[in-house]
Amino acid sequence: MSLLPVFIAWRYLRGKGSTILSLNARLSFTGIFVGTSLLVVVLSIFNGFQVQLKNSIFRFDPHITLTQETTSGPEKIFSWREYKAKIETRLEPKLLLVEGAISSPAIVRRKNLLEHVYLRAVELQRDPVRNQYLLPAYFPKIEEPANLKTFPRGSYCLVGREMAWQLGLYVGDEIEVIVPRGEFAARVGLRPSLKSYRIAGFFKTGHYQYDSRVVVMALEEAQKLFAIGDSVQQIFIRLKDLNELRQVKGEVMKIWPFSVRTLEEEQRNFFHALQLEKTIMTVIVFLFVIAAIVGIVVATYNLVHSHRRDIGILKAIGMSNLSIMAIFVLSGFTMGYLGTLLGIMTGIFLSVHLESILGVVEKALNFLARLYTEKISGGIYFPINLIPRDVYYFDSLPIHIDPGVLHQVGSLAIVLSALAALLPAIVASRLEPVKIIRSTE
Amino acid sequence: MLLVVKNLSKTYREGETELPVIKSLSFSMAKGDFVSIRGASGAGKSTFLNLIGALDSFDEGDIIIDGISLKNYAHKEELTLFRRDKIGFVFQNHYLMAEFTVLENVMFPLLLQKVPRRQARERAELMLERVGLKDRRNHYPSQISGGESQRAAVARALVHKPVLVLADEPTGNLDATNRKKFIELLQNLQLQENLSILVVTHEEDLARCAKRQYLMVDGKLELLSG
Ligand SMILES: Nc1ncnc2c1ncn2[C@@H]1O[C@H](COP(=O)(O)OP(=O)(O)OP(=O)(O)O)[C@@H](O)[C@H]1O
Ligand SMILES: [Mg+2]
Repeated sequence: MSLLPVFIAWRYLRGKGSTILSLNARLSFTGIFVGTSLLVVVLSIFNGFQVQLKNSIFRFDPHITLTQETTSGPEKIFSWREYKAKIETRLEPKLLLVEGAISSPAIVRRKNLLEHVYLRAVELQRDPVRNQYLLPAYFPKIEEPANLKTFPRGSYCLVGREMAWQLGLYVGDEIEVIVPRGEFAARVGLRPSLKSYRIAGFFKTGHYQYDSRVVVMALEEAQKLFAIGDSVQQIFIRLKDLNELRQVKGEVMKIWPFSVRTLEEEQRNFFHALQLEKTIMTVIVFLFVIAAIVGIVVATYNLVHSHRRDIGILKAIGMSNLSIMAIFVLSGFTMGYLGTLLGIMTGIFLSVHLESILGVVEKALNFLARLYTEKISGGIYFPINLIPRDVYYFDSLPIHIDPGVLHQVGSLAIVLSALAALLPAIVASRLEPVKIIRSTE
Repeated sequence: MLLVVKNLSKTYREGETELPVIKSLSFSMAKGDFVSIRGASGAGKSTFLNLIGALDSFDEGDIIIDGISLKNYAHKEELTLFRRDKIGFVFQNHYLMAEFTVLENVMFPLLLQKVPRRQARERAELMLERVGLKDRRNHYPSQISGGESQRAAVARALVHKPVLVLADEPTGNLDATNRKKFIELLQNLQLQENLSILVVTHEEDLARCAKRQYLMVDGKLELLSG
């Protein structure tokens, strides 16, 4: 086939004279363009939330938890050091850390405020020089005191930033931690054990549940609180590569004859929610694709319709059906291709600058709202907050641009725009020149 | 003979009703003939022209052009190629493609024949010179007058040297002066190139400049003069 269809398609898109695109091409191009850029922004935000949540959870939670479960709850593990050593020697290259731990519900009292929390006590390295604990590398950022790396031994603990806000705590304040004494499972009735701890700092995982509910301390301190000697409640395992989670679990089960639970199993709801989000994302992409197809079909059909006479003439002077088809497939495809490409680029740009863009929008909205309330309605003006921090619990909008997803969306849109153009193109190639010539006579 | 039409019949069917338009029509044309056909509106002149140009299909009889019967072309695509190579069309509405310059419009028949672009351009420019539009070649159809458009359409119909030129009311949209100019042009070209032209028209003056003049009545052609 010759290049003639390419030449004609190009002219149809360009339109007469020196405009960049004909009106028709401009409209459908704009449709695809806007659609794609919005899609990229939406996907980036969705992805960002997912990545942020996953990171905060995967960083803070143990990847595999070993317990000695009984019918009334987890049992004390006396020989945990033995097992820890066994696991370490057997699985060494895959492990980041194996540690004895106590993770238990507890109650925190501050003056007359009570809060139910989770106490998490893990083995902490000691600073060889000072009488302090070193925070492990995986531990989330300490917000206050900023970049704290160690904290004093003895009755000290760390709490989440949100809890500090909610209970009005300051670094150095004391809180009381109340747990059942002696046993984790309240098998013999509850005898509370109670102890005061000074707050060494506030951490922030980025996950609201943790930042508002978790109290962290050294294992030794928790063992004293529970009065259980050198036993622990759980053994925590952290992996270098989370993709090996299932495999490592299998191997750990050979060593540990009791309950072995992975992060995925512990956080089933959470992972379901993530999955649901993925599904919604897929639906959005699907809807977008449908819209894009419809857009291209309509645009190409318009192009065919407005060039009926051209088609009649071209066929009368001897252009083949296939070439006629090629003209319109190429036109539709080009609109889709350019729209998608530019849309993706714009989408990336918007995603990256989303916060500042939203900031500007927020300011504009607030300006108008204030003007309206002060000058017209006379009511009380409340500033509008587009991304309320206390709802979304992020310092900054989490944006994650996934090249793989963009690639998929892009290729899909491009392939589909060619397919979508096919239908009107076939219609065009089937037009009878004699009818066209008559109808315009 | 360049064109032989034997017992040609064409009937339009719309559901139950049948409208016989061409009724056992016979006609022939030699190379270099200039033939005009007149007739009442609805007599079937356009239909006849479209049949010869292989734009429409007939029911009975035969059309033989350049020694080959149109019935030999089994597929529509073959008829398309036949039109591309043998026929030059001029329509009443001198339809040029709006997104292309006059020159490009005239180049199309050559480009369809896969003539190299540069050569096509040269030949099209030459043709435009013959119809007096050389200096308008880079204008778009919307920028030229109706008379100029029709001359451009003639250039497009002749640029690839078709064996037969079919013109359906080529002066239908032109005023008296433009019509006169157009007729002169057509006559000159016909003489210079020894063109074979079959023209359908209502206009006396155009019809009269043909060597042979026919009248279409009741689905047949009657010779008026020549
Ligand atoms: N596709 C069609 N279906 C049915 N009838 C048709 C069709 N095309 C043309 N006709 C009819 O056939 C008859 C001949 O039409 P045609 O266009 O050939 O006439 P014409 O001689 O060219 O007339 P005019 O001088 O007005 O152009 C007319 O009565 C017309 O209505
Ligand atoms: Mg007619």
